[in-house]
Amino acid sequence: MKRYPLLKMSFTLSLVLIIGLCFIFTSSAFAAPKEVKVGLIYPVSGPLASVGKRCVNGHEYAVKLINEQGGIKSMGGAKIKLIVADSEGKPEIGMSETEKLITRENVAVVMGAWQSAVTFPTTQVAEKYKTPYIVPLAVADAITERGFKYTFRTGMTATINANLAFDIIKWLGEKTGKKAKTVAILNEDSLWGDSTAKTWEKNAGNYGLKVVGKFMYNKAATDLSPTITKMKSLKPDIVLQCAYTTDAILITKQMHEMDFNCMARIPSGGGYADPKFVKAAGKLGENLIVNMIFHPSAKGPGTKVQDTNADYQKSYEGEMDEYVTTAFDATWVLKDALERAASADRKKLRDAISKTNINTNNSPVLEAYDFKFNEKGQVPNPTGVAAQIQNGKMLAIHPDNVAVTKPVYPVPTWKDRGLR
Amino acid sequence: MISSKELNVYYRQVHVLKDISFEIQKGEICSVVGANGAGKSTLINSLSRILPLKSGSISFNGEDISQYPPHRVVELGLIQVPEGRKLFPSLTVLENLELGAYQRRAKEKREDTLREVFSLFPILDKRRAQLAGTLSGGEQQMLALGRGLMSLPRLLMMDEPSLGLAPLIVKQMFNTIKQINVSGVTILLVEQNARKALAISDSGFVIENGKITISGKGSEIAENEHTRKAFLGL
Amino acid sequence: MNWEIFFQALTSGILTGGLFALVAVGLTMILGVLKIINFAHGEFLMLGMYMTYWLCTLFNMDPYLTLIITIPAFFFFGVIIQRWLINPILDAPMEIQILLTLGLFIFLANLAQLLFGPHVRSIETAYTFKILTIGSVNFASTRLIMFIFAIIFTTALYIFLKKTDLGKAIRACSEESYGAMLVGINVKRVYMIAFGIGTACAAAAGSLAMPIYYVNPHIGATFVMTAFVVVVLGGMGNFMGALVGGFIIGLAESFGAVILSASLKQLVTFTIFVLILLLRPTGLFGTKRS
Ligand SMILES: Nc1ncnc2c1ncn2[C@@H]1O[C@H](COP(=O)(O)OP(=O)(O)O)[C@@H](O)[C@H]1O
Ligand SMILES: [Mg+2]
Repeated sequence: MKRYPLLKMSFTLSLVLIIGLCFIFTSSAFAAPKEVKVGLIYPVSGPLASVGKRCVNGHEYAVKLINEQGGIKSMGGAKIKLIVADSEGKPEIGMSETEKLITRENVAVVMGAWQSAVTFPTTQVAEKYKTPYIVPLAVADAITERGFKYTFRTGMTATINANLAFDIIKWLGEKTGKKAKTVAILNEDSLWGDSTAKTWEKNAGNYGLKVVGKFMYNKAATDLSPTITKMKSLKPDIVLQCAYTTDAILITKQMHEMDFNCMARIPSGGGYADPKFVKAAGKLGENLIVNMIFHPSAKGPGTKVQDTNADYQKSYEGEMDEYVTTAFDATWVLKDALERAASADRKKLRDAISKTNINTNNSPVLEAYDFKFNEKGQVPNPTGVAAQIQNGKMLAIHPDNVAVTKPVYPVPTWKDRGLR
Repeated sequence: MISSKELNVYYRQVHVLKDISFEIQKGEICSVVGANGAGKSTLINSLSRILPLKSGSISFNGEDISQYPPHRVVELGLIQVPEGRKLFPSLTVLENLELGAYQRRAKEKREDTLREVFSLFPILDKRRAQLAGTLSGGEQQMLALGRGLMSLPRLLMMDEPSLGLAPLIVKQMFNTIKQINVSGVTILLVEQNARKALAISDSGFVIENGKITISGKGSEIAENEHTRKAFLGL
Repeated sequence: MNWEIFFQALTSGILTGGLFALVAVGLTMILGVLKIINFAHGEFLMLGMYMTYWLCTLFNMDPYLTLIITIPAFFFFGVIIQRWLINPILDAPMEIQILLTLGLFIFLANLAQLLFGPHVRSIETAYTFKILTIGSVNFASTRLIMFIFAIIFTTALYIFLKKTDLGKAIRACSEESYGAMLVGINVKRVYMIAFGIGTACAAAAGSLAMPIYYVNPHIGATFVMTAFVVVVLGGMGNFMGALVGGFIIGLAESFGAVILSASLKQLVTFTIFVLILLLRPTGLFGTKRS
């Protein structure tokens, strides 16, 4: 019953595959003289692409400024050239792509990878090839706990970040006189969520808080109402959360659906820091307090943050959120090291990075802390920003020196907000 | 009623039907005799327009149907009751019959035809709500034939209708075929049971290795020395 | 587990099960009639979500009113795909067919990413804030509406398949395409209609899910993985199986999340999947085929 020649079938098939492949692979590799090749590894396709691309934007924007201002002066004005590899959000793909960046593209340094689960193995690849790897944002502690010589983190660890949540709770209590006593933890189950949740569980007692429940879910979940109901029966004062964007939206909608109320939900960055979340959650997101690494509403020294943010938005969609900013700052750290190393040699560059000492007030970096590395390759005292959604806008509320508004706390119930 | 000229049919590279030309007159019963694998089913499927023709033409009631798709051939009244019945096992007996009258011409008279089929095979009436797959072999063959009749055949092609049936039922089957023929339906009959088939046939032909080797009146073929030896076991 | 949680899990499971059933019914229809594993099914759902999203956003349409556009639009989309992509490879070996639908899956996901970007999008409608409460059980009105529509669509489809001539022809093709040809059914046309219906089911599920969930170019896979499990559970190509299987998986995930952890509910689903493959490969409602 062959009615169609094989040729026609294979033609149709090839057509579909070729068109499909065209969309998957978009690469660019045109060499130009006098440049420092820098590899980026981020999820720029797949469900996490929305965040991955913003990280890339942060690097790109910094590189644009650096190159416009004359490149690396100690290297005769060498330009930085970024080569973006796609981790697709998957550790194994991240590993092979990082290896390609190092061996085939011959990059001087790698930066990435946002997700801890991808950063963990990709830093290992870089260590193997003695290639410096700067981690702007990926919080699992273990990333800088392995005695690696080539891994540097310019941002938070999960422990520091987790404890910031407790600082915020304590600060809110002192500020309003309404002290929270119990917390529930709701986290997605990748390395980031898991490690953060474990830290919360371990350290809550130190801040006089009792953990009444700990719930994990997979970020591909389509219905979390049973979990939320179970959590509701435990009546926690505070819910600490780790979520990516899609699950953050689902949880927010379903907390409303299940009429789950508490004094405040304080998620740790992640999807909640995504402006798309604020937009997608709409009214349901109002008054949410997000424990973030950075937020462009924060006051900086002078008008540095506002000016940079405004200039950034001329070329890119969205604000300089924590993804953009941490990537941006990390790129300046790299620039500083390249100037001092005066070379793209990996070993020399590594030594220069380890001797970094940048004062935030007289450098283009936006985050309000100084950049230097301890012997583990970790910035010792990074600070964050807590922001609250007020009238549909994220505004910095904590710490006091960056705050632009007062907190609404405890957060009114759904009913009091007229949403039920 | 139907005729073919120089039909050549292949399965991929295999040349199965070679220069088949024949003609069946209206009202006849015509038997096709041949060994297993000679190409009888292939011929029927070619006439039903399920298999592509390499060359040659088929004309039905004066209309060239060589390029028609299978469903148009059915609409014209060229109906096949296939080898192995090809019923819809998890549909009911009634649904199987109804589907027989799927084409417009047959659908208009569906209720009447259904009554006739039930009077021809009362057992199907009794089993109308039962799933076709749960019928006995004989009942399934009746259903296959009934489904064919529901299409209001002008020419009914039956591919080994007695295969696997008990002798008593085989006898009934041949009686039914004669009865259908008497009601005005031309019949093309492929049978393993060549002797019984030729006995009720007006004409017939023998296919060997995809070629027609002998053709003529039913009785002539039954008496032919070669066919007697090769197919009639005498 | 107290009663409050039990009833909540029960309600959630049933409501979500309705959606799974609708997605799975479309998938099983294509599988049963065309004997093709349609990996692109989830992408039809995703595109259905986008269509509802854009109609709501640009024209301020009611999300449920968009169904009168999504259903016919995706029916024809399915017909076209069947006519130009699937038909030519129907007789081809299984690997080729799998490659084709996989290729289509990758193509559509990337096309959506190109057209709409990687961002998550979600809609806010008048229904969003209407929550129903029965005793201690809460559920969004959107979830109930989704469930009701899903049940209406699957029931209508069931009646169509059982009672109409075209429906019977579709079942006939799924059982015995050769026999169907011999009774004068235009089998290729039925294939187009079946693929169209399957596609429309997925897109309708997408439209119904849009007010509850969110859409991004990769949402399809999330739902369709579950739908595949449902189809295998119910028996490949079995309509009733897909319907009942949808509810079983909905409840299993719901109670799995409460009893074990939401992190493990996929584990519950896939454990069921593996058990079915081992113990009853034909599925709960499947019959042995020779
Ligand atoms: N689908 C097929 N593909 C390839 N060869 C086939 C196919 N069907 C039948 N044949 C071959 O064609 C020849 C004729 O088969 P058939 O018409 O079924 O014989 P008969 O009905 O006379 O027993 C046989 O040699 C058979 O092996
Ligand atoms: Mg035969």
